[in-house]
Parts: sequence; structure tokens; C-alpha cells
Amino acid sequence: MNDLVPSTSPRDMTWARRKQALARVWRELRHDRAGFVSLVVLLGFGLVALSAPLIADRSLLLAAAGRNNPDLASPSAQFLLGTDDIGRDVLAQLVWGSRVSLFIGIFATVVAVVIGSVVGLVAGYVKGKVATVLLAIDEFFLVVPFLPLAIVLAVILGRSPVTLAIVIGITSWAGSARLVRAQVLTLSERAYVERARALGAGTWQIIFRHVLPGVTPLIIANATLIVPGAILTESTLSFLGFGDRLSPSWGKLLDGAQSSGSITLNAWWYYLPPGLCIIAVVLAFTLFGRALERIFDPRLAGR
Amino acid sequence: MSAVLEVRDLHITYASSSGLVPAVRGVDLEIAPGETLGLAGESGCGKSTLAMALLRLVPPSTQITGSIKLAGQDILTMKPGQLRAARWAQASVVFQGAQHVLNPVRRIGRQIDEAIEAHGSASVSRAGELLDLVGLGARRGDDYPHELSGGQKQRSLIAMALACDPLLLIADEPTTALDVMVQAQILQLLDNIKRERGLSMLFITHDLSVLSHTADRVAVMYAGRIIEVGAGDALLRNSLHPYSKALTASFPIIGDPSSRHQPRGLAGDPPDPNNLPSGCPFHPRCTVAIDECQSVDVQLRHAADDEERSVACVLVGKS
Repeated sequence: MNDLVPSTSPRDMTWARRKQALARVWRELRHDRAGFVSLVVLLGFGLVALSAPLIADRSLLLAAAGRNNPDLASPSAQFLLGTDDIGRDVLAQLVWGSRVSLFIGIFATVVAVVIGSVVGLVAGYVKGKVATVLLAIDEFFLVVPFLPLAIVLAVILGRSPVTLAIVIGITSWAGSARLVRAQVLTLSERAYVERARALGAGTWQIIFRHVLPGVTPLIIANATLIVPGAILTESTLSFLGFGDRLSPSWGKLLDGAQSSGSITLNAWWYYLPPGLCIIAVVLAFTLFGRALERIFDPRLAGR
Repeated sequence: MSAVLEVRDLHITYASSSGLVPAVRGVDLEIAPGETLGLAGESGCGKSTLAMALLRLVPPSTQITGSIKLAGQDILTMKPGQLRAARWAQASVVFQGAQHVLNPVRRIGRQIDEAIEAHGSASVSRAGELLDLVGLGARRGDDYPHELSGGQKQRSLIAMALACDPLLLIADEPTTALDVMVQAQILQLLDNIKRERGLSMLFITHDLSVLSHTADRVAVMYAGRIIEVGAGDALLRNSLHPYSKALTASFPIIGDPSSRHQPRGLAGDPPDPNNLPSGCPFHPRCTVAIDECQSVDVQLRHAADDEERSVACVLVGKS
């Protein structure tokens, strides 16, 4: 870039700066007890999801796997969390279910955040008719009853985890679009945006160079708050029988527990663990998201 | 050679919730190649609006009439693509308040190159060369804005303004919020660059003492109009319009102790552009107003004893 050779290369300096920024986030997270605990919980769930094949063999999920086991057996040394109504190991389903639930939760969030950010950026920066139309679409998705829409989309588009994630993403981007737009409105009045316009920069150049970097922390914090909603939605859809029949999610486990009457039979090991897992993950994501929001947005500190 | 900038009968009207607000009301001006025109006036007189309109950087709801010819091409009739190409390549802006004009999360060098990239010649970075030129040193390109001092930031803005070799530099109060020593350095730098590159400059300020140093000609604006224009030194030494007189008198003259003990101000507030006084807009504050001023609004006309000077006042140049 220039003929002077700096004592440390720009790349080293970049890394040093990034390390510093990360260290700051880490330090503040350590002091935020709820945020730190929820991070540990999330890492624990992530670890379990990734090492599912090591904990329980996938074949244990098949209907045939429980043929020789007692149905609805209470927890024992052989079945740590008992068996379900056709004799399958509940723990195996719970472990594999964490994979499906986390995957759908995160992938749906990516879909929602991408749609929401693009709509928010464009609606906030490009004013006029385009913004009016985008905001009308946004409002439609905000007010339309969300569960029936998700059910209809799930039925039409099919039920694989990927399509489920897309369906959930399509139905949950509206809030983040609003949030991003509000931030973009203030950013686009900054003097450096006017400077960019004065030097002949185009709309997209300004949006991606100057506006997007300013809203990125907000988008990240908001994303961690969309994940729990997506996981809950996936569980709801599965519980209602619109989930993927072949992949074991926590919602599907609850559905099985409910339809087999495990609650009246007092088979707590069937319905309690998936319920508690959902609560734990959703709570952890929410608390972690709030902690990130506090760190990235100093105005929220002290509240 | 023809003028770099030629503005004819320019009217700029903002559309606000309370109706139309005239910010610039019929301005004519031209800048010759290599010339510096100083534009002075108090806050709200329309000088910044005028400057931003030269590149059509006003809100889309604003009405602009008249003509602005930059290097012979009319800015007001350009299509958006042409306009973007003309911005920065023909006229660039040295903004005020460098603090906010630089994006805090991007390196200085990248922000300078951004101008070059916007004009499609991004193959080589010129940031280092330009930063050397303004006396910062090429290595500063790797810094973020917060790592520079106020004066350094203003220098990097000047480097940025030069990125596309413009014909005209619009300096919009480039030395506000800088202390006097740095202010002098920046003015010297602008002057040197202007001379070396043969640039024309429109220098906007509310600080007349700054203009005595830099401007070849000075125009004084009041309530959206130019009320006096003339050769820089002559106008600052001997202003003819009562408003310009009040402006120049508010600065003490170095070497004349008596002027320090009786600095004169100007009573009253600038007029509300929504509700301009009848006749000459300055008459309510004018110390030498006569009855005629309430009804007659005098246009710029040549002063009798100075060929280069034009003044908009009933008391001047009356034949």
C-alpha cells in the first residue's frame, strides 16, 4: 500500500485490534453473571449436539430399536431416562433432538436476520415509494397471525428440517427489519454518509460501506434473541404434528409423550426432559442476547 | 478562459412542515480558474445551502431554480448518473467538523480511496501519496479517525478532497472547531495546494479574518442574497454596505489598540426566512436606514468609485 515498511504489518495490527475488541467483550461478559452462565449452558448444549453420535447410536432412534425393550420403563441403569411408549431410549432421542432443535433455531435465525437486515437497510436508507412498499410488507408479516401462517407454509413447502427453518425464518424477520430500519434512519443522517454522497458514492456503496457496519452489533444482538423464538416455534410445529416425522426434535418428543398419555401414566421421564431442555436453551439464548445487547449498546448499561 | 463555476439567478427553497422556506434568493456568482472566492455571512444566511446545492446535495424535496454551470455543464439538469460522476471529479468539498465527516470505524486510507473507487479507477491506492501531500505521512492511512488530532483529521479531509483532481474546491468552514495555530496551518496548506495545482476555491466562512488571508474576492451574504462583492482586501478594509461594515468592524485591527477597546457588534437577530422584512431585509437592524429602505429592495449594482465592487444598498452607488 505504501513504500514505508511499518514495524508491524497492517495485518498484525488488525489482529491485535480484533483481539483487543474480543477481550473487551469477554471481560464484560465475565462480569455479567446471567450472560456468562447462559453462555456456559449454550456451549454445553452445543457440545452435546455435536457429539450426539458418541453418546448414543443413531439406530436407537428407529421404531424397531425398542422392539425388545419394555415400553414406558422408568429410568434405570440401562435407560438413564427410561423408555418411550414403543420402548426406545428417551435419552438417545433427547440427545439427537438437541441437534435438530439447535440447527433449526440457528438456521431459521440466519434466514430471518438476512431478510430483516436487507429490508431494514433498504427501507431505512432508500426513502420514498420503495420504503413504503417494504414497510407495508413488513407490517403484513407483523400483524398476520403467525402460527397459522407457519403451519400453512410448512404444509405447502414440505417438512424437512431445512424447509422448516426457512418457514420459521420467513415468518419471523419482521421485527428485526423494524429495528434495523430505526437504526439506519439515524445513521443515514450522519455527516460521513453525506460526505460519501458528495464524493459520488452510489446507494449500495453507502449502504454496505457506511451504514451496515454501524448496525452490525445490533443485528448480532438481535439474532441471539430470535433464536429462542425459532426453537419454540419449531417445538410448537412439531408438537402440533407439522414437524419432520423422521428427525427427532424436542417438540416431537413432547408430541409423542402427549399422544401416548405419558402424563396420565405419570411417565415424567418422557415429557419432563424435553420440556426442561427447551426452557433451558430458550432462557439461555434470551439472557445471552440481552447480555450482548448491553455490551454492544452502552446506552443500555446500568439499566 | 471561461469561469470554472458560474451561478445565475439561483433560488433555493426548502419545503418544511411550516411551508416553503426560501434559503437562497437569487444569487449570481462566478469563479475564474485559479481564483478563490470567499463567501461570508452569519449563521442561517444561506451560505452552506448555496455550497451544498452546487453539487445538488440538498434534500430531494428542495426546489432549486436558476442555473449552476460547473466547467460549462449545468448541474441542475444532469441525470443522476452524470451527477455522481461530476461530484468530486469536478468539484469536491472540504467539510466542516472533520470529527463527524470521517466514518469512525474505517481507516483513513480506505476512506480516501473510496472517492477514487466511486469514480471507477480503483486500481492503485493514492491515499499514501495524498496524505504525504497534506503533510500527514503515508503511514497515517492505516489509522482510524480517533487516532488523529483535530488538525490531522482536517488535513486528511483535504487529502480526500484532492483524490479525484477536482477543478473546484468547496471549503465549507474548514477551520471551525480548530484552535488558531492549527487554523493558520490549515489555511496555509489550502493556499499552497491551491497554488500548486491551479485550483479554484469557494471558501465559506463566518470569520472574515480568515478571508483576508485566502480570498481574491469576497462576497458577503445576508438573508439568502449577496449584498456586497468585491476584491478581497479592498472590501475588508473599506466595506460599503452597512452590514459588511458591521461584520468587519466586529474584528479588532491588529496594531490599532483603540479598536480593541471598542469592538462593535450588531444588534438584533438575523431575519426569519419565513417572514422577511419588506424592502431591504437588513433595514430593521441597519443603523443608517432611511424611509426608502422599508419599501425598496435594491439589487446588486456597481459602486461608483470601484469597478470591481457591487453593493446592494440604496445609499451606495446612487447616481
